[in-house]
Amino acid sequence: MSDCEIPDEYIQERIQNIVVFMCNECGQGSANTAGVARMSYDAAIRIIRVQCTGQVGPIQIMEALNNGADAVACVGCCLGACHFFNGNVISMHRIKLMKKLFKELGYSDQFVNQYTSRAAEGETAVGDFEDIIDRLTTAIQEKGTIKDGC
Amino acid sequence: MAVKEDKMEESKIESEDSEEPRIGVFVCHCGHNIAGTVDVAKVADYARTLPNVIKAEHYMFMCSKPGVQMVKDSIRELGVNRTVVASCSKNQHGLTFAKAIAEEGINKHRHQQVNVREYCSWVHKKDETKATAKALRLVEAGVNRARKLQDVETRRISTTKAALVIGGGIAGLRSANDLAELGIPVFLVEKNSTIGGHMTQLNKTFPTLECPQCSISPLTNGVANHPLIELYTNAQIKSVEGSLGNFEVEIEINPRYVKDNCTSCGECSLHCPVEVPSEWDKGMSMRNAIYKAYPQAIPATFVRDKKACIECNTCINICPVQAIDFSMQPETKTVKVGSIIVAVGYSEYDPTEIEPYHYGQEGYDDVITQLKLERMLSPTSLTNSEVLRPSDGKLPKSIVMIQCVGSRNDQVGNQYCTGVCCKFAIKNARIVKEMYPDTDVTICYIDIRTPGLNFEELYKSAQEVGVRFIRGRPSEIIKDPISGKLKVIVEDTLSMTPLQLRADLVVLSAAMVPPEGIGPLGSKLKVLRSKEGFLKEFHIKMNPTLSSKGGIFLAGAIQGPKDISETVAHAGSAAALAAAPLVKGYIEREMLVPTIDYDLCVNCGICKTICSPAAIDIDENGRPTVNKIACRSCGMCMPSCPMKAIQLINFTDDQLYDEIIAVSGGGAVCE
Amino acid sequence: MDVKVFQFNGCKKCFNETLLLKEDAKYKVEFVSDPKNWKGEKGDISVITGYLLPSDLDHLELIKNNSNKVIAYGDCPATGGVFALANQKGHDVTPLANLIEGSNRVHGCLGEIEELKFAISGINVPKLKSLCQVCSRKATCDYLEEINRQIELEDSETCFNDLGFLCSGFIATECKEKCIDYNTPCRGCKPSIDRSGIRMLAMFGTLAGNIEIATEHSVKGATDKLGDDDDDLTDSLPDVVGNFFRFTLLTSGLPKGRIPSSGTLLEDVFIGRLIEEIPLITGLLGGAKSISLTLKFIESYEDANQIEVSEQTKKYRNELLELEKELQKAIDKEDSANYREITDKIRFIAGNMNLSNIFFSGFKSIIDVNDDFNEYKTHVFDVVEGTYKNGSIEYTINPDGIITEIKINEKLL
Repeated sequence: MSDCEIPDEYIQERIQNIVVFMCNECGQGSANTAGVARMSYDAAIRIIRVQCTGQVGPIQIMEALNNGADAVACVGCCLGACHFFNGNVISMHRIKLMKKLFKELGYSDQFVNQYTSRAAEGETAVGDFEDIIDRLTTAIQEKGTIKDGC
Repeated sequence: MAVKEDKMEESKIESEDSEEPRIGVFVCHCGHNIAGTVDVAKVADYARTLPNVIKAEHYMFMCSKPGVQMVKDSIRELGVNRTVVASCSKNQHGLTFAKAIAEEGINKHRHQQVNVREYCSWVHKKDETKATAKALRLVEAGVNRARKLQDVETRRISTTKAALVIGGGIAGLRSANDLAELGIPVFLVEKNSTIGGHMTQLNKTFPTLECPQCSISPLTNGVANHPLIELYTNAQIKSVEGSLGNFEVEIEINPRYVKDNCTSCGECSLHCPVEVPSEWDKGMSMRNAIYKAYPQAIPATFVRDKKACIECNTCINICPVQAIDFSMQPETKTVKVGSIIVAVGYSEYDPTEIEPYHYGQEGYDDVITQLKLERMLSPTSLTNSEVLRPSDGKLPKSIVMIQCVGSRNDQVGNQYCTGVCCKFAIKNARIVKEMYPDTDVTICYIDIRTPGLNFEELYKSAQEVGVRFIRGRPSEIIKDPISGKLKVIVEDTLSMTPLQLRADLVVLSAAMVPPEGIGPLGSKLKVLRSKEGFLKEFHIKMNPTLSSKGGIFLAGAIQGPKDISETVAHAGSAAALAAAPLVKGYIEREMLVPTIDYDLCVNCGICKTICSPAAIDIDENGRPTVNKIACRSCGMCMPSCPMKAIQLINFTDDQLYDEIIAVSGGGAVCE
Repeated sequence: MDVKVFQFNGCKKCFNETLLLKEDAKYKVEFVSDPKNWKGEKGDISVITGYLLPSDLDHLELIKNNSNKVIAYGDCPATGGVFALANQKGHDVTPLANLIEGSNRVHGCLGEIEELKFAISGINVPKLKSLCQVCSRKATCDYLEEINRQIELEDSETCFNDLGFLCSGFIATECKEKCIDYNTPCRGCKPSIDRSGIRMLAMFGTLAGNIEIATEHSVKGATDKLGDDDDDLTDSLPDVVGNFFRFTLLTSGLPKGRIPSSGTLLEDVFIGRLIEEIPLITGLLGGAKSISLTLKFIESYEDANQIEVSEQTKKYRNELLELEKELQKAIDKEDSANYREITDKIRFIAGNMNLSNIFFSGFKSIIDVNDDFNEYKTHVFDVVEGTYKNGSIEYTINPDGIITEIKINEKLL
């Protein structure tokens, strides 16, 4: 995969669906704020509303990846400001284990990620989305997409 | 003992699963806001092809009266039983449509809002094709989700109009008083024999140098005499059951051994042969085995220290009103309350663990804490308000105060800044300097932190009267082997000079730390603690008075170090929040709660561990049960369960799966 | 009833176990140890044992077409089993259900013969309890403070998870080869739910909620994100695949592994595993030779690191080696009574046919109540980096105790 330069179009074709689980509090809030401010981000970002990122488990993440998502991310409240005490931290632990699992299977660990955002600042959500795509692009350049494995 | 909750009978949610889903999809133009980017007609056409979709329309403004009427008509005319509106965010108009379908007799949770404006048209203005493609996926996801939506019942739970306040310090008194003024009966539980807490021990309060006794006594008297406040001193919380709105609390009350007819004449104490150091006076004076903590103490009734008493019966014989009764027994009282306020305050940090300061060690009697200095300076002190060296009772010629003892330290003590020590150290330094202009008063600090109205002025005034400030954290307090004098070793980091300060008296500005016994109390209340040991607030900015568990509120320093003004404000806020459901008389809760499939459950208890509002408990058979009132619907228990046994209604794995498939693009990766 | 048992690839533990069917006269059992040359004749029940590769498809179809019912017996044909760990390195171990439709499954490594009998008769196995519910250890299921790797044998009353040794008992059903009785945390060979590995991973993510993890500040939008660096959590879990997916890697919905293969399929199973897990994995893999294989691994390590082994341990180990030889004889003679007798003897010492009780420097739990357990008790185990060699086996472990290289002479199996 990494032997030759990969054209940008190839990568863009491979970034079609990014499933983002956003918590009902800061996550949703920031994405709404970003919308109201008419900020712009890639149309590959698809948001699913959950109560708290702590509600999202590896099962859901794998379901998304197995059904065509190119990457999955959770966006929760800032560290220490989870509206349900520690859902964002618990979610981070689960995702950290998933990242480790992906590494052990020989994949890039950037297919799953967790971010935080702030409800009043739309740019936090947009920054997170851009970061997801940046990291995914690098990951695809280095080790190929998750679909290349099959 | 379970708290009775009315209307809590296990009525099964009326299952209409047999009924075929009939979904109505409505795509909003929002003027040009959506239609300008997304091809709404195409979205509606696509929606019409999806299974179970009976009707799919697009309209200029769905939130307008005709738009809402369209939704209602579809229910009336076509028998639509689940609605999907693709328009703006759930926060904006989700409720509008939910209400509308509720008016037509459909449970409002059967409405699915799809956000194609904030999440799609507004953010992908430049690429209409992609935005439309995304809108199709989002609407499909919404339809998939709607297909399995279940009814969620809204329950009204009546609340017990009474509150419990734990802790009789300034925070607890303020909360109790405010609650009682709102007409709510209050049970105030104090572990000591008197109320007033740390504030009564102080000499003066900053920045105005007021007498704290004078400030607090209207409150202590007011609380003690309030017809709606029942005060329990020498009392502790034994157990707490129930949840938000309806708690049942067992209080264990230790006897005073002095009946209420005590006239507070003091004859008993005067004749008592036993003397022990006074806790209230920080050991600066002695008290008897039968005593009153301090002259203005409330309740004024004397109290017998059973451990110290030698049972000589002198007091019994001398009491003019026969108020003393050694046969009194501890009693347990059960009270029912709707809200609980925890106002158990703080403890002063014990500096003994900082080895180089030798606090509490033999030969270092002249190393004291600020609270002891306060006691020495106070009008009721044994020293007659003079500052005297504990070792020899002489007036110190030089006093060194050390800041940040137990605060702002990664190695020993705590990382946080207590935020109050600079202020009280400067206050005390100024008072001492004004009393004894010939005595050198030095404060060794890392940073002086005196924000807020009047505090910079306090700092300046201390500098003006001649208090010396040295920037540097002292490394050690040493004792000259020959003269026996104390020396504080510090580097003045502003001039980079190492100094040895002669100190007749060293005063440590000790941090505020979580109070003793907060661990057991926290576990009885089932509230979570921060890593520093204080009780954790619900949200640091937006709700600093609610604890992790609904119905339990935090007041004052138990949430984190605070000065008196902050504590009073915090306690008032806690009282208002605690009162709201009690004044209203009921709480409305949507039963958006998890259910447990006991055929799958293996009783591991992980759901109990993760449940931050402690809504999951283990019953006598070892099985987890969900307290539907306490649950906050976060869904964290779902992925934690290894057996998929616990599922949050309308967010179940199956329901999310349907949505995920549509959003992910649908194509399987690994066949 | 006419039963044919087919042994495909890998260890023959389950295949051998089917000898016990012969105890019951109603089964007419035929053993086919070389299905590739099987000509195909009509039969009633076909039992598949051993792991499967896509190249076995033709033979499997022949079997399916010639039988009324096909049963996957043991984890290898059912879920891929421990051999499927090689798929991490791109191998193609495949569960039976992915190759042919309509097969039944009997889980377990070693599958339980009683459950096979139920499957043959077409009766559902009565609902079994969860392993946790039959475990004698007391659990709180509270947040973990740290994750431990080496097994100390002092505490036999507290739940493994509470002690920091990860145990998958939550998702396992009660079983005969109960590792938990021999101070060995369960790895979930008999899962009671689909995608058990990933569910355990999720649960463990919760349990580890108090362990410090790396976060970093994302400059775009200036928010926090989960860091890519190693942290306390990942450091204490060097082998997620081997820990949570030991038997169910193929059926957990994970993408196929892309780590470059560095040897044969068998060798790839071992690479990446932890040294303290080796005795159990060799116990799983070796079939009728698992005892000698396990001891080869252990003894080479013990010799190289001068770990003293007591006389009592040596005695028991020799006894096991003798039993292994006898077992092979019983298998060769297809003598089911003798087979049962010898396996019971092995179970007495090694705990179960997975040899859970065997460990470095001794045994994990008391074997005979008359023994002085201290004589052969395993002590805390140290990881020593290096290459260890014992005849036909050579393996290298890194400072974290992970096997990085291995050479096994497959003729051993």
